[in-house]
Amino acid sequence: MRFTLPRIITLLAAFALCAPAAHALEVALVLSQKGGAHAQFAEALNATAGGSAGLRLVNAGNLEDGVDEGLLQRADLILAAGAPAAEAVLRAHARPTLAVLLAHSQFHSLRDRHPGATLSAIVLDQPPARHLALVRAVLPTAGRLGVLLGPDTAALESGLAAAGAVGGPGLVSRQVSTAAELLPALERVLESSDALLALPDPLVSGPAAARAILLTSYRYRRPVFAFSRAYVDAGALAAVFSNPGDIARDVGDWLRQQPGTPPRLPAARSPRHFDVAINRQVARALNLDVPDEATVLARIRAQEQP
Amino acid sequence: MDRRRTHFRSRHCALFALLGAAPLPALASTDLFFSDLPIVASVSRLPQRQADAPGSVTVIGRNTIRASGARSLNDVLRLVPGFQTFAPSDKPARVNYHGVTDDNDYSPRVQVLVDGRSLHSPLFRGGMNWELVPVALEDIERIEVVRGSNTTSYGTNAFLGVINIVTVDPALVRGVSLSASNGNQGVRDYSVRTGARLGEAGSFRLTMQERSDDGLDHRAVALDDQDWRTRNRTRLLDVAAHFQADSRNQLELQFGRVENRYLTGRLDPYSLVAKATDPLRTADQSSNWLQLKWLHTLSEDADLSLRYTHSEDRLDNSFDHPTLGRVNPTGGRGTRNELEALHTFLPSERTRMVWGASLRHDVLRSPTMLEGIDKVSRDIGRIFANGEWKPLEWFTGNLGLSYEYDSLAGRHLAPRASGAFHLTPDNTVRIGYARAWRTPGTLDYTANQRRSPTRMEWVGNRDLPAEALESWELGYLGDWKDWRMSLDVRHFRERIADRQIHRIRTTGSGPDTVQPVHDLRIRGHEFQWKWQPFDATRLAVGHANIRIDAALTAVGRALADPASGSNFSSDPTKVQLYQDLSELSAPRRSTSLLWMQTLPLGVELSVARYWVREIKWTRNTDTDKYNRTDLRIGYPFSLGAQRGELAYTVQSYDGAHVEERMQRIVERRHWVSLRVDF
Repeated sequence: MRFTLPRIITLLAAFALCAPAAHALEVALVLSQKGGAHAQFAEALNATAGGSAGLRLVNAGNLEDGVDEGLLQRADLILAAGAPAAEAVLRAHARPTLAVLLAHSQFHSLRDRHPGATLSAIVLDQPPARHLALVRAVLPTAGRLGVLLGPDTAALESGLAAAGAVGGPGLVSRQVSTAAELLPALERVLESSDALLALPDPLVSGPAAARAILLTSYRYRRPVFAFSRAYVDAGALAAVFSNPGDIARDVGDWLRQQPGTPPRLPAARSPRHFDVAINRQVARALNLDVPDEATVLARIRAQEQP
Repeated sequence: MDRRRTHFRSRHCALFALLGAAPLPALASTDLFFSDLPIVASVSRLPQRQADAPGSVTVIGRNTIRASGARSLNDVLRLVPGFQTFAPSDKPARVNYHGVTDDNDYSPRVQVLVDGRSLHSPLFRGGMNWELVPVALEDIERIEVVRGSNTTSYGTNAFLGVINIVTVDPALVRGVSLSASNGNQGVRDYSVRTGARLGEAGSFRLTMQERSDDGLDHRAVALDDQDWRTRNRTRLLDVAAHFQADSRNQLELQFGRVENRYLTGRLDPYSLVAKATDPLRTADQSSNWLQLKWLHTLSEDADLSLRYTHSEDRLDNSFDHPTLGRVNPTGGRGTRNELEALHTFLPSERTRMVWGASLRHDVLRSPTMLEGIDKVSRDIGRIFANGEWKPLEWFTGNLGLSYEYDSLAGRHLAPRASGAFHLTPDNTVRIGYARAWRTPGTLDYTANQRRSPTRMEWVGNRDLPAEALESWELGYLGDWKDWRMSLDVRHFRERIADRQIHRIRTTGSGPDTVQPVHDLRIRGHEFQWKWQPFDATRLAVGHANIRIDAALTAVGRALADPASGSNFSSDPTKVQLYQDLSELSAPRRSTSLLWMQTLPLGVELSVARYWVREIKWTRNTDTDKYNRTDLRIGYPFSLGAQRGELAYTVQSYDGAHVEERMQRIVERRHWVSLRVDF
C-alpha cells in the first residue's frame, strides 16, 4: 500500500476524531519517517486500537514533515516509532515514552543517553529462544547452529546458549569486531555447524555482509536462518520476524490493558506477535524437506506456550 | 502469504542535521529489519537438484581442486570419469571426454566456460587452448562437469560434455594473499591475490600469477628422439568486480589477460642445428577478455541476465622460412564478440524454464594459415529453451531444444529429452536422449596454408558437414545422506556420424584437409562414488569403461579406395592407423581415486591415484597404460593475525611414465608452496 499525502491527512483526521472521553489515556504517536514501515505501523495501530474506549490516540507528526510539540507536551504517553523519533522526544519532553520499531541495541543506547527518562520499548529483536525454535521447527536434524556475534549482538550469546541447552541446537559462536574478521570467522563457524543464524548486527548483517554470508553458506551448503523477510528474499532459508502490523497489535494489546492514567510502562521486551517466512527455492536447492509456514508458525507458538 | 516488501530508506543524515546530533552507529540498526537486501538466491543462481538434472554432473569444489595437487586446470579433470589429459611438453595439453581427437586439435568437442564465457576460439580450430586458461585455480569456486552432450544449453561445442567453471565471487575475497612455489623441473610459481570493497555496493578481486617450468626432460629419451625442447611460462592478470545497483540489479565486470611463452620447433639431436622449416624457437600466445553482465531479478521466481563478451586470442610463432620468407604457422589473431540474453523463471510450482538467445561474431586473421584471404568472419545466432517439469513426486522430466544459424556451417536443430524416476528420495533412475551437432572450426572450412612456393600445406574443406551425435543414456543416482555416500552411474551409447580427422590428403601430392571419414559408436559406462566415512576422511572414486568402434563413412570409403590416390589409402596400414586413432582415442578403462584426510593440527593430506589404459592421442603415436600417484600435504598456520599455508606436492610419485607419446617421459615433479594471507 502506498502512503500518499491525502491518505496521511485522512489518517491524521481519523486520529483527531477519536477523541471523545474526558479521562481517556492520551497517546501521542510520533514517527521517525512519514512512509514505509512507520506509516504501516501507524495505520495498523489505528486499526487495532484507534477506537478503544478509554484511549485517545493522536498523531503528533513525523520528523520529516514536522512534529506537533504541543500534542507531545500534554500526552499521557508518547509512542515513538524508530530510534530517531525516540531520541527527539527524549531530548524535548519528560513524558513516559514507549519506543517501537527499533533494535534492542538502539534502545540501550537511548537509555544510556537518557538515564532519567521514563522509557521502555517493544524492540524488533526476537528472543533467542524463538530463533532456536524456528531452527528446530524447520530443520529438526540441525545439531549445531553457527552464530556470528557483532558488537550489537555480543550480549545475546549467553541467551542463545541457554536456550540451546534446553532443546538444542548446540551453539557454535564466534565474535567479530571488524569487517575484516567476517570471512575467516564465517568459514570457521560454517565448517563446524549444520546451519547458520544471522543476527541483526550491522557488522554481520549489513547488505555487503549478508551477501558474503549467503554466498559462503551456499559454498558449504548450509542453510541460513535470519531475522527479516528481506533476508529470506535474498536467500536465507527461513526467518522469524515481526512486521509493523505485529508490533502495532502488540502495542494495541498492551494499551487496552492500561486501566487509565498514568500508564505503567512494561519492561523493555521482544514482540509477542511474529511471522515466519521460508524460501522454497533455497530449500529445494539445498535438498531440504521443509514444512510450510503455517506449520512452522504453529510449532514455534506451541513451544512458547507456558 | 503477503509478499509485500517494505521500503524503508535511510534518511538519517537529514534527521541528524535536524536534531543537531552526531550520528551514532547504533542508529543504523533499524534498517537491518526492514530494508531490502541484495538478492543472492536468484532463480538462475541456485543450483538445480542433482536428482532433477537432465544428465550426470561431476562437481569439483575448492577443497577437491586443492587436494588434487593440480598446478594447472587440465590436471584437475583427471578426477572426472571419462576425461583424459596429459602432462604438457612441447605438445600443449589437451582435455578430451570419450576420446575423439585428431593430430592437432584443441579439444573442440568439450565446451569450456568460465562464468558463462566460452573459451573456445576461432584461432584454435574452434577449440580451447589449455595453455591459456584465464583463471587461477585459487579463484575457482567450483567446476561443474556435465558428462554427456548438452548443446541445447551450451551451444554446439558442448558436443560430448561441458566444463562449467564458476569463479569466486569478489565479495568473498578480502585482504592480500601472496604465494610462491619452488620445485624441481624448473617449477617457479608466484601469485598475488587481493580483494576489497568498492564503495558501499561493490567488491572486486584481482589476481596476478606467473607459473613457469622446464616442461619434460628431453634427456630422458633416446638421443634419436631428442629433437625437441620444452620450457613454459604463463602470466595471468584476472580482475572481477561486481556492483549491486539495488537489491534487484547487479552488474558484473570481468577483464584480464593471460599470456604464455613456450618453445616450439625441432632441432637435430646430434648437431643441435635447428630444422630449417620448423626451427626451435620461442613462441608467444595470449588471450585478452572483457565481460559485462547484468543480472536483473524480476521476482523471486524469475530473473533475466544480459551478457556481453569480447575476447581476443593471438599466437605468434613466426620464423624465416627458407623458401617462403617470414611465416607464422598456427599463428594469427582470433576475436569473438558475443551477446547473450537469458531468462530463467518458474512458470508454476512444478516447472522451471530457461530460454534465451545469443549472437556471436567471430573473426579470424592469419596471414600464414589464411594466405591470400587474410580474414574470415563468421556469424552465429542461436535460440534455445530448456524446461523442467515435475508433475509427480517421483518423476522429473527435462526437455530442451536449440536452433542455431551459422554463416559457415548452416542451420541446425538440436533436441534433448530426459526423464528421472525418483524411486525413493535417495534413489533416482534417469533415461535420456540427445541429438547434437558439432560445427567444424573456421580453419577447417577456410584454411589456405603454403608448404613451399609450389605446394599447399593445408586447405579448407568447404563441403564439411557438421558432426552429428545421437546419444542415449541410462543413469542411476544414489544419495544416501545417513551413510554420507553418493553413487552416480551412467551407461551411455553414443553414435557420431561424420567424425572428422585432419591431415588427410585427397590426392597424392595434394594438401592436408579435414575429412569426415568415420562413423563412431561409443558405448560404455562410468561411475563416481563418494564417501565420507568420518568427519576427517573423504574418498572419491571415478571409473570409466569406454569402447569405440569406427566404420568408414561414404567419404571415408571413397578415400580408402587406392584409386583415389589419397594418403588415407596409400597402403592398408594407413587406413588402419586412422581407424586406431578413432578407436583408441579413449582408454578402454580409466580409474581415479582421491583420498582426502584431515590430520591433527589441521594438516591436510591428500592422495590421488590414477590408472589409465592404452590411449592414442595422434595418428603416429601410442601411449602405453600407466599409473600415476599425486600427493599433497598442507599445513595451515596462523602467525598473529596472519594466516597461511605451507604445502608440499608431488606429482607422478611413482616416477617415469608416458602420458601422450613414448618420446615424452613424465617424471616425478615436486614442489614446496608457501602462502601468506594479510
